[in-house]
Amino acid sequence: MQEEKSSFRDPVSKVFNNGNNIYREIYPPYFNEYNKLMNKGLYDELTDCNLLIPHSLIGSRIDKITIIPRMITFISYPYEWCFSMLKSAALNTLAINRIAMEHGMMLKDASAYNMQWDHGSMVLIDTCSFMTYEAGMPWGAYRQFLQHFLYPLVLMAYKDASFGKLSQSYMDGIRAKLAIKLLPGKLRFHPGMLAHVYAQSLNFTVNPNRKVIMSRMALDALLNNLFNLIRSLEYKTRSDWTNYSDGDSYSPAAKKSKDNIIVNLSSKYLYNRVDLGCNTGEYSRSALLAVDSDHDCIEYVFEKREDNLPLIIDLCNPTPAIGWGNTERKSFWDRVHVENIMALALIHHLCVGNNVPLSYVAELFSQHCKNLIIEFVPLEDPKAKLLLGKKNIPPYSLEIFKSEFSKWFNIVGEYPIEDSLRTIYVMERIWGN
Amino acid sequence: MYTDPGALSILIGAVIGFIVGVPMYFLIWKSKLKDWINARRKK
Repeated sequence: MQEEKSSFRDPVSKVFNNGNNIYREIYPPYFNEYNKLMNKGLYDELTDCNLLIPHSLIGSRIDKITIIPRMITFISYPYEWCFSMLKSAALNTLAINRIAMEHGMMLKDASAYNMQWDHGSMVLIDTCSFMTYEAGMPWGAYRQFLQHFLYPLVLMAYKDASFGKLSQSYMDGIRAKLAIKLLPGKLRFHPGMLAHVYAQSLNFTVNPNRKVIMSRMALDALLNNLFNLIRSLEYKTRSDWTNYSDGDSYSPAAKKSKDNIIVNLSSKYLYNRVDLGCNTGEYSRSALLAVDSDHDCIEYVFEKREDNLPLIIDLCNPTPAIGWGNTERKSFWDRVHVENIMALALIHHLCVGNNVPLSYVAELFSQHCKNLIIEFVPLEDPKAKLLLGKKNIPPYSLEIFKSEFSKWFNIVGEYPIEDSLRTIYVMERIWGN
Repeated sequence: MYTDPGALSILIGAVIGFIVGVPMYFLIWKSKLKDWINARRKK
């Protein structure tokens, strides 16, 4: 069993992974809180509402309690989420805290990394995030909540969606002072922003011996106000998606032909699949992951809620490993080990648009899947021509494509798309390479 | 000009009550968070 490096920050529990299951060991200092969570109805209510990951108890000893939380199919990070995913995680965090308070507990931390997409909802995966609430206690995780959720959301809503990636550089969240420098000045006159953004940057001198008291009513008001503020944040995506979905790349006949090819693929190529360059998610239904570098595409796929996890990943600059020893948060490719990779209308963006050699693409894909469904787009294709312009690119042709991919895969299917220059290939990994 | 201290207190009380009460109404009693949680419980 391997210890999950991301769990070292919490001394009261540790997470282990044996490949098939996740184990959480809870240590004596947290026994009281754990028992309170389980016995006072909070656990049942949160799991019923799909807000907390359910777990099974497998061992209870004097020195540790061991639980197996339900496995999350893919661990993703806040800087890979679109605006609506982060907003959903923020609202759920506030709801969890409010429900916990009704049961005499509250969240001791509000890290966005503790929220994960599971069965159609953002759920809390850290069972040890609760502490006993006593009358008069302020919410200790308030600042962390602002830094992990509110500031990125406000920046995305009022400035640009790409600010979501800022959390990758600031793993502990975006500081108020930085958020203020980036936000438009008019927000100073917004009461919610004034309280949660601008007031937070003031350097108050606090006497460490003075006990801060916050009434239950004030705490409720704080949570309600944050909830209303976050609910009111909107992100405007492209209004007209009908013209966007690569529609101009295919004639109606070609589109129909491509749909038929995908629909008739054997189910063994479609399950446990990652759709790279998913665009508006036309072929991402029931995929494990739908990946694209365009925020608006991912926002659109997320709003469709088609039982996949949509993530913003730029394949030419994918999520790196960050945190302590570069092991705390894993890189994108470190987390992708699937049966099938689907890469439709992607190869020309990588090789023509970004000068990635075909051999690099073949080798990378071969390391992360057993089967590959890939669409080859020749240089004569209008979209490829547009990307090529007058620049020089590494050798790119159908012959080189076949030769490079054949080093790693057996080509088991070749399906030309009618009324188009494009062809879909189905490949199976050659073992031993 | 003579001002009745009782009337002045009521006036000040009303102004403070309005300033504090209106935001509190929206912050606490008109709670969307509670409604949202209840809707989630019913699902």
